[in-house]
Amino acid sequence: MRHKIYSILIGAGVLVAAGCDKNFEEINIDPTKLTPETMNYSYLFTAAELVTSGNSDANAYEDWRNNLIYGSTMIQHLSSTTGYWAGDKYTYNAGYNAAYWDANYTNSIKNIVDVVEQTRDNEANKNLHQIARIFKAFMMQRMTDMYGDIPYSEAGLGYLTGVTHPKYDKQQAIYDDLLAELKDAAEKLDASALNSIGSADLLYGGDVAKWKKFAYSLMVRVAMRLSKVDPDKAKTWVGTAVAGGVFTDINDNALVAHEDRPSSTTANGNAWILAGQDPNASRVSKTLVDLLKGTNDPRLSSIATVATDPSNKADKGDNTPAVQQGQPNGYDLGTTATYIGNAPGYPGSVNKYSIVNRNTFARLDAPIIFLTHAETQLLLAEAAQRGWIPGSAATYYNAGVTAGILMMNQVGASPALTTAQATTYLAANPYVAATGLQQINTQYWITTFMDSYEAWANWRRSGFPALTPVNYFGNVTAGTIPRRFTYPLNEAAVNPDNYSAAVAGLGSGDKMTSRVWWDKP
Amino acid sequence: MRKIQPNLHVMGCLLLVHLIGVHELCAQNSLAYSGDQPQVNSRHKRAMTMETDPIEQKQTLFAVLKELNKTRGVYFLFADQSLGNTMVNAPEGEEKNVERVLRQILASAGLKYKKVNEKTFVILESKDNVDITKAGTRVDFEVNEDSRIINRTTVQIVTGKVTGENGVAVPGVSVTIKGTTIGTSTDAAGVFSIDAKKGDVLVFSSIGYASQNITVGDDLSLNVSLILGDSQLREVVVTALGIRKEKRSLGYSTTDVDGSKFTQARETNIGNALTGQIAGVSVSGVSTGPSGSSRVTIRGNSSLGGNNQPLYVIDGVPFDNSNQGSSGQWGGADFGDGLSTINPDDIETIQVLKGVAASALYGYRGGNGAILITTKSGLKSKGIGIEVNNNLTAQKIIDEHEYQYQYGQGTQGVKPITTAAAQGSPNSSWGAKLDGSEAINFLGDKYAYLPAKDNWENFYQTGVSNQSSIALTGGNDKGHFRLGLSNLYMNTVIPNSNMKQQGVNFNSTYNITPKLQLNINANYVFETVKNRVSFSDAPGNVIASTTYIANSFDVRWLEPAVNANNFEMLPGLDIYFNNPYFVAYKYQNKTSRNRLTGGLSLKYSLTDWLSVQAAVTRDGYIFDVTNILPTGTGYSEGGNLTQHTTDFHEINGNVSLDANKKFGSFSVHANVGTNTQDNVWKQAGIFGAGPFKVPFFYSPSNISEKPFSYSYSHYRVNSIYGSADFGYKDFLYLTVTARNDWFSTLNINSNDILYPSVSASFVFSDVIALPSWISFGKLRASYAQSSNGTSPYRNLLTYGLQGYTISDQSVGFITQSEIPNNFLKPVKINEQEVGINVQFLDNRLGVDFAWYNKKTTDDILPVTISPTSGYTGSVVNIGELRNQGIELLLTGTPIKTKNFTWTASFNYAVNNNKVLALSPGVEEIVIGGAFPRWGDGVSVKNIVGLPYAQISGYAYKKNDAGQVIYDADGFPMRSELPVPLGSGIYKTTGGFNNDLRFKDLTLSFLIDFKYGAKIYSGTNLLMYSYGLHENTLLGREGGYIGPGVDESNKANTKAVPAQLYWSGISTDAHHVSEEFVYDASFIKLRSVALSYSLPASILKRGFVKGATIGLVARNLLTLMKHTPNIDPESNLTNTNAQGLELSGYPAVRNLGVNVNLKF
Repeated sequence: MRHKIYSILIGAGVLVAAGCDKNFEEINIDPTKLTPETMNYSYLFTAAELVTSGNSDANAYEDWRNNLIYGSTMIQHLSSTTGYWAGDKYTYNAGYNAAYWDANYTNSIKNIVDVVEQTRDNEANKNLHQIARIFKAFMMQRMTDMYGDIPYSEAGLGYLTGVTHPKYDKQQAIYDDLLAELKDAAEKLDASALNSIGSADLLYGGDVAKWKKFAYSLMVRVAMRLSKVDPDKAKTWVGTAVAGGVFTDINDNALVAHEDRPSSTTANGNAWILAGQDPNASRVSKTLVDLLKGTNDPRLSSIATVATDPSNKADKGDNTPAVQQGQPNGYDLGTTATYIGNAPGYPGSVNKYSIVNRNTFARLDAPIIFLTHAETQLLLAEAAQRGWIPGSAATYYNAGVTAGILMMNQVGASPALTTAQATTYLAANPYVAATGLQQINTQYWITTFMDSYEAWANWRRSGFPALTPVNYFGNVTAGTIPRRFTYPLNEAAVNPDNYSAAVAGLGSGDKMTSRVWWDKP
Repeated sequence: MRKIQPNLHVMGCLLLVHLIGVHELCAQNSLAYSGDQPQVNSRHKRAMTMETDPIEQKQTLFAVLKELNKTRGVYFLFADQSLGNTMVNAPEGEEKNVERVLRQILASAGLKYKKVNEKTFVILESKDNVDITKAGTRVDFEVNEDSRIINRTTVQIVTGKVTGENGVAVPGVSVTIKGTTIGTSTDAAGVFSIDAKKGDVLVFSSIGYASQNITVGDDLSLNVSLILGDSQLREVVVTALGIRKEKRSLGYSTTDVDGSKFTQARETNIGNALTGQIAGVSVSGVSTGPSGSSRVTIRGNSSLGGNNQPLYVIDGVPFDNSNQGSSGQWGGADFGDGLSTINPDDIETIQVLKGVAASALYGYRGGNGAILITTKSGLKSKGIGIEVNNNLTAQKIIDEHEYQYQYGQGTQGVKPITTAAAQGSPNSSWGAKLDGSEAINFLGDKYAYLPAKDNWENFYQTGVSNQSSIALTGGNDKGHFRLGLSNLYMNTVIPNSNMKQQGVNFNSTYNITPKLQLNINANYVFETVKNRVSFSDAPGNVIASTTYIANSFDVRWLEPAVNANNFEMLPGLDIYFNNPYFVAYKYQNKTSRNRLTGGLSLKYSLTDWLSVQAAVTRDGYIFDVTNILPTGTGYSEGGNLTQHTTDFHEINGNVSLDANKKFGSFSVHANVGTNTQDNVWKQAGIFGAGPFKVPFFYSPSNISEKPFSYSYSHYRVNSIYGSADFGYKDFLYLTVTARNDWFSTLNINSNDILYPSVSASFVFSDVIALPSWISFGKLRASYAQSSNGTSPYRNLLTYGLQGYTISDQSVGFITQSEIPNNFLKPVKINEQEVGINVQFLDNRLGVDFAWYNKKTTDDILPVTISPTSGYTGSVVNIGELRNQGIELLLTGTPIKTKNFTWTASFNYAVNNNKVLALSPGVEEIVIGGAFPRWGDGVSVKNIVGLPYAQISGYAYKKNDAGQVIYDADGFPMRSELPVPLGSGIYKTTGGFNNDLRFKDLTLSFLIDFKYGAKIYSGTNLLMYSYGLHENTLLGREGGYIGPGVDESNKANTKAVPAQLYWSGISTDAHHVSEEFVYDASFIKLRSVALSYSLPASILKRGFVKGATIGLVARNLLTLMKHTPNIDPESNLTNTNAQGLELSGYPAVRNLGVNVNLKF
């Protein structure tokens, strides 16, 4: 009996010991996750597109901070009397400056890099690979335009190549590579291959022809950014782009459709803030309203509306052009001279100032716009004006303005704007070569409404329209409109060598007043 | 009073002499000394009957007398103990007359006897004529009920009651007659009764108390008060895996705290109640209120990025103490941990295994030490015992704020005189001088511009907490049980916030057969908490609103909470600056926890020295969270809903074999076993979905988008372990243990590791002749290796799909934010420890000292990497960290008189921590999530060469003379990059426990202290920013000129408007973190309890067997601190990111009454 018990015990011990890691490999696979073998990378591409539209966390984190709080107000599309809307008065908030960087490197950039690398030399995914390269170029240009030198060639590769502390590439080098990438990828798109992407591509449903146009249109944007710093290169690449074939009408516009799903990443981030989270914080800027009103721009009613009480989100307001009134930038709700009530022409209530139209741009299912026919035509107008490409600047200009007016319909203008209205507007405000650059870039400024990243970048490049900066108590730019966003403070801590080298390259330090490489005074 | 026979009167003195020199008796005797309950030792019995010398046919005199004792019921004393060893001829025949037998066997041995009384004889040498009243040794033979042979004329029944500190009855106290194995133990009411004679010395001993000797005198009704103590003599303690060992045999440091320490001035979270009690155990205050979690670390932090809290084991069941959620940079509530569900009334003792050697048998889980909680069990007493305890306390906030009250609401020196201006500045105290003039508030109402000093008083309420416990105990000779029921209700100081807890604790042992024993224990807790407070970021944090509201803003203006449309009545236009009444009454936060922790074990004794045990334990809970951001919330008008369930369980299966044997002078105790740990965690629900379609209706069905989220984690660890204790003559001990763990979480090719330990104990006082004032001395030393856990799924990149779609398209993501690593191996933690324990003056004074050196290598740490790599961390396996320190415990009884006793214990520990290495090329890592809400560039880091948890931020830039340098705008310049500003971990910790007992009245108090940590105070930062801090008075008129120099080293003359300056250095581009880093050292009067036990004489005849009433107080006074406006123990979370503070739960003072009744 006793021996039996001992044998059982010893036997049990041996069994346990022998089976000490039985099933362990199975146990250590998370049943709720996909592996590299089972993953469909198109879904990751969807994520990159969606997050680039600005609402990475269902609360429009980066969109709120960089596109709205800073971008829209510095560029005087909007204005705000709310303290934390720091862009209105050029006060400093390090976290807001870094929000776009913070939200995208670990999300959309991580994803797009993974798609590009995991589909490399993969026949079944060859178009996905090229499309991902093209879209990555779009994402990286926006990032470098905001911050200057940025991690580019080594970005997002933490798992794939083990680079944990990416170097900051020079913006000049980044631009060279963006152009080369766009060209190469566009050329390698294979129209004859089966569309393996389909609805996973939120922009074009995997349509290779459209992506080709996108690549060359984006090439125009990238090239023209070099107009001051390297005109020759700009000229060359605009030529390449035109030869490759750019957008032909507004149906080519790169838009991400959104959904009326509050508190969801799939809602339009701008709308989520402007008519959701922060409905009373901003007004349309006097600068923009005055300009649109002064030129009888048919877009005014698509952009602005006057609500009885903006904090009531259901209040869609009155978008009659005549009642629109812009709020000047640089005022607050305090007790001093900068109190909004002291602003010239104060209408007696801040609610009399226009807010962003809640049936168009501030609508949860409004699209987010990445790149348009209007922008491309306007940039080509400038190229033509500069003599870099053949053709008439006025023709390009007219096409650009017309496309800019008609695209309001894509955002939801009601009643719809017509070509006739565009013609009327152009007749009243014709292109004049002598003021061409000012006209072109002012139009560009209007047509990039709610795409503050692009509006701000082009304004910095072109200087148009001439904006009057504010000089508010406690601003950090000595009363000038900021020229860049500052790097995340975290980078100084975790990537100090590369960060310091990048800051050294800025000349005047990691400040909002330092200029990026292509931004020459 | 009975007439006492003089000859027996002296017996007590005689008993001090050693007992007879039969080896086997040693073990038995020692038990009599020890305080362990006397047990029938079968080995002993057999030894007695085997004392025959086969060759000479002789027996020892002792054996012969023993037999006589047994058969005739007579009793013997030896004049000299050695006489017992005399070999004598066995008695012949069936001689009935005892004296004749004695004469026969003694004569040949040169001995004689002297008759004391009818049944008692003294054995003497023939030549002696010893006065038997002066010398002699009594032989106490095995006693059992039927053969009991005590002279009825001299034996009386001594009864009494044993109480502990505060007069609480102590059950289970072993009561033995010194020098004998006669004994009993106290019942649930602390009452005992024993047959003893006048002059007998009764030894009262119980774990956790100093044993006490009382000589039976004329009074046969004794009331005995035990004093808490740390008697090393023969105390048996629980060690790793529940193995009981004599404390003297341990080669490492372990401390036990009696359960009664937690029942008086109690804490909801037992972890917090450990503060100041044990040298080397540091409890970080977490400012998250009574339903929050605790952070307990032993001997410092030994993991750079992983878990640093010890393993908790309750009655042998590994107990998950995970925090269910804490606030981070962006707010959130602390959902508490496991320890907050343990009822102090159920705790028998808490054993803290400090060093790695102590916890090495727990394998990888032992790296941070272990805390073993033993709940009360029933006793082998007859009948049913009932104990009732009620603890009622009131809580009041300690308002530590010192606001400036000279300037009121407003901006730039101007008070609000329009509604708009008032709405623009609800949290800005940068206005005009508070002169009582007319001002306008946010409602448009006029008010006198004066300080609103009672905002805290007006908003917070007096909290009330009541915990009732009832325990039933019972048993018979087959087994015993204890059933504890408890109910806790707590209304906190925050309006509309409460906590309810019901618990059932069951403990039972049953002997199915004499060899097969069944043990069952179970602890069930049901807890609901209503409206846990959100911390850190302002939204949802009532403390933020009430702290930062302008100093002339009367918080009661906000009392309606809502506007006419039932939406939040905001104090201003800033939608993130809440109305605290709205948060308190309209936000809804409910959590419920159902937890069952239990174990079942069967132990079978194969022989008297070998047993086998199989046990299954399971710890599991369901934790539900419902969080409703209501319709009309200022910053989220549509509201939203979070509703999820966490389902956790861990099962451990264990089989072990235990052998305990003596070979001559050697003893061996060996244990081998296997263990399988299987841990599963699931969480499912919706997180932050909104808005509600139908306003004010809060149900998941009322939300169009409610992405369902599901997370899962599973891991297993299999182990084989063994331990062997070798003892030599009860003074030298050696313990060797080994455990091999296999991890499912690691690469299959390198997934196991062996953890060895060796420890030795040398009781030198038993060997070396020491001065008489040294009563006990022991040296100990150990070396051990342990580890820390790893998380599953860290070695392979995986992808997930989001809970939402866009245009019906699924959206993918990479699940890891840390780069996976397939080459991870287990962390190694090595520790050497030496210690000494010396007791002086008959244990009136004791010193215990320990030195340890603990080194962590191969630490798995998520190195903070640049997020531009796509990942925020990379998991590497090369961290090194060292903790070195000393622990000192002084225990003593400075005063001991009949009616008054003062016992005190002082503990003190210093831990020196140093980060030795991180990943190559990496000099610092940010501890996960260690970013404050406010303060650019501030984080908590581990930096090579510095102690753990460095608060890193911008320092003032200074010239060589140490003067601050100011820039051209008059702002102080700061360091180029964030620099280390001090560690958030206390280096020195300690406590001073005192019990003053006067008759039945006991006063206990604990003073504890901590030194050597810094804290980054977000509250002070915001008080600067909002113009509330007293420092911000500087420069209000004419601007502030910082004392220091300009960039050309000339005196700074540039004046900056006060608002710009103070809010500048606090929050924006001019932020200087150093300004907000404070020394967090403190001394506190932590708890005071005054209790009165009704004397046994009063209770004697009643139904009630014990009654104690106590006045209790906790967090009574801060005797020293250096942190203005905040409590220095206000850490934001219980994570590794220690040293950050912001708008935490206010310090709360508790006062109450504790009543304990025993029936």
